[in-house]
Amino acid sequence: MSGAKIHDGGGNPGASGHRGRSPHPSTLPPEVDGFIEQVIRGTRLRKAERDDVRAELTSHFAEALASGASAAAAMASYGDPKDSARALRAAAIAKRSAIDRAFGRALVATGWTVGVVVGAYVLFALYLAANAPRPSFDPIERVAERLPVAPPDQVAWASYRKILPALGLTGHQDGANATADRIDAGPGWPGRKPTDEAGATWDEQVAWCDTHSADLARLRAASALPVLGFPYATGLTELDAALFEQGVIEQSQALIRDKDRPWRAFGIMLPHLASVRQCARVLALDATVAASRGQGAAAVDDLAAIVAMSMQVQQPRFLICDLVAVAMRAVAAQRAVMLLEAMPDAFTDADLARLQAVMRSVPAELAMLELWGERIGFEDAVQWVYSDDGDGDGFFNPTTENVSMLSSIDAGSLGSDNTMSSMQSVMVSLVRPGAAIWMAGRKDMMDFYDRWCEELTARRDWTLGTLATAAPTQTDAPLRAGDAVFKSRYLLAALLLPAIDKANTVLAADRAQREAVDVAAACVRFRRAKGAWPTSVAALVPAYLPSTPVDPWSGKAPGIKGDGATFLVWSVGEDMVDQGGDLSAGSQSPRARQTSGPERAMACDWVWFAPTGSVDRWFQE
Amino acid sequence: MTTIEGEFLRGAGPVAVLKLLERGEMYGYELVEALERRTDGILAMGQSTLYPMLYNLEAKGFIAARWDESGARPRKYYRLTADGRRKLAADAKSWHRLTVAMEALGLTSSIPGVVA
Repeated sequence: MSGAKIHDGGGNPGASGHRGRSPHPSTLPPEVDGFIEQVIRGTRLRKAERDDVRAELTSHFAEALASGASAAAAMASYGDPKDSARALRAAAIAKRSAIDRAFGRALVATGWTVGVVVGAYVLFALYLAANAPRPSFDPIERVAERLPVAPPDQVAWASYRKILPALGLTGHQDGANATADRIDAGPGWPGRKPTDEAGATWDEQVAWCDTHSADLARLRAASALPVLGFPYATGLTELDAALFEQGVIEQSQALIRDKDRPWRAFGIMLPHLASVRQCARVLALDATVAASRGQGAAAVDDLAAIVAMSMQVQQPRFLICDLVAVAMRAVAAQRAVMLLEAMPDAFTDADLARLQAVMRSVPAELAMLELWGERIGFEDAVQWVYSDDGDGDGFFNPTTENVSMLSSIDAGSLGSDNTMSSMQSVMVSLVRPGAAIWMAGRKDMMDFYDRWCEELTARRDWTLGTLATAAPTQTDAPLRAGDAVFKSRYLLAALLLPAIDKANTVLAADRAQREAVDVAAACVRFRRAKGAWPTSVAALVPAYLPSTPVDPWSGKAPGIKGDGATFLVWSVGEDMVDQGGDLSAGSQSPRARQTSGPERAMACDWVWFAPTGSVDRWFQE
Repeated sequence: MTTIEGEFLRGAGPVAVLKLLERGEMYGYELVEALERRTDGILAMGQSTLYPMLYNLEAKGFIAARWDESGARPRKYYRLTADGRRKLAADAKSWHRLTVAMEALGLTSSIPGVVA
């Protein structure tokens, strides 16, 4: 057989290459052409292979018809088109090269794998959609369970909500409030000028204290009650209307009522904190007025009220409550030292002993880290963004609403409107299964949080110096190191943990500052009894102090020196360098960090007691 | 005449095609007709079976194909390769031994036109 137009019969990508045979114009009856196309379609081969098979079958049927067979007979004798397509496909594939077949198999395997993965992803997405987080506990109720209870006459808040408006210490922008703000901006010390132009003069401050002496007495009395009774768990009511804006009351009630609202623990309304903090400053002012009149006992009453209120504020133990309480006690402690340095004669020995007792009255558990309130908040956040398998574990599976909450925390704007667009919602739905696989599970997340809390709590009784020189906590090391992978896997912790990081140091400073007042009062008592300042802090024990005080920064005895005319007790301070008790700016506080620029310790000592007769050091910038 | 199908044809069909091509190249429909005519219809395999079989033999290198468009109708001709000849020789011996064995059992006397 020979001819002018002869070429290789390839048409498959095998040894013959990819040269497909060009479709030849068919002269076959339409039904035969249709039959052939049915076979070709069924083969699902590549185009070159299909062209070759088509040409072969066209030739076959052309020969059959030319031999006299009818179209119907030719198609009938050919056989079933589906069976033929299957067999042709298998045979054509067998003709491909080994590499080609391997590639094809890999392609098919990849296709199946992708299909299975996509299918699994879709199924997982459906599972997650059907297992959205179902909060199992009410954080507000859980907080309430931990709060102390008392009969109505032992609850301080019932009194505070009447006294605070009378003192103008409310969120209302009315006349009384404006006056209180003006008084608050006064000098706070006889003979000094207001800190700003709007501030009251010292005489006006004295007059204000006299005018409100009855209210201040009621405030002191209420501070002595065992239970604060702020309505954390029941919501502010109209009884509180005189203290806060109407919107605050509605928000508070909505928070208690709307149990489906996510992250309620973070929304617990604490509007009273600003008011009670201002109370501390007013009481410190009143203490100064009293001492300036030689009424040391009244001054101690005021300082005792500040400390007592601070302890009420720590019901419950939210970190913000601890921070406000510590700030209030710092006001009391610093004012006490100022008064002992400038007006010691206002205090009798009994007053001084009572002042010492006040400073020691804060129970150890209130002066050390306790994170149960924070943990409730964290666990509440977890229960809103993690599904629950009923056994303490679950997937990171936030609703669109909660992704919005996470975004707002990340942006530092919790509570602001972070409504997502529909496109963002779709993206969240698509990404959710991937996130659920990638992110730490519910149990891992809580275990991490608890380990971190445990590590922090283990340092709760460390001194300032120990905390400053100790190795950083290990549990959160990846977060501190900026480990992006860890941060993305433990997103909730990365967003919520840093707020607690410095709490131990703040509380250690609180303990140290109250001890400094204790030592200062002991020194004054010693001098009165002995006629001279002590030459060592050890000399104060046991008559005036229960044990020898320790510099919280150095771990050694605090510095003490006196030459008859001057006397100083000091700690080496945050820079850990003993400057011999210099009285420059920063000497007033155990943590004399600069307020601007990179955070670092000022190069100065923390002076516990400097009875120079001047209070200049307390007013240095 | 009843045709042979299934397992029998799966074994006999390729050998029969190789045997037909031993005499010279043939195109698909020609093979169909030759199988039917020369085996008295016994090996008249379904036409849809022939072409996959040809592709398999081509894939194994026993036959090769070429298109001829010089005639009235384009035809794809298949011819035996050297490997195909060796394969045919080997299979022919096997079939011969099988035939002898079958004869010894009194099952058949001959299978005309299939093996030499």
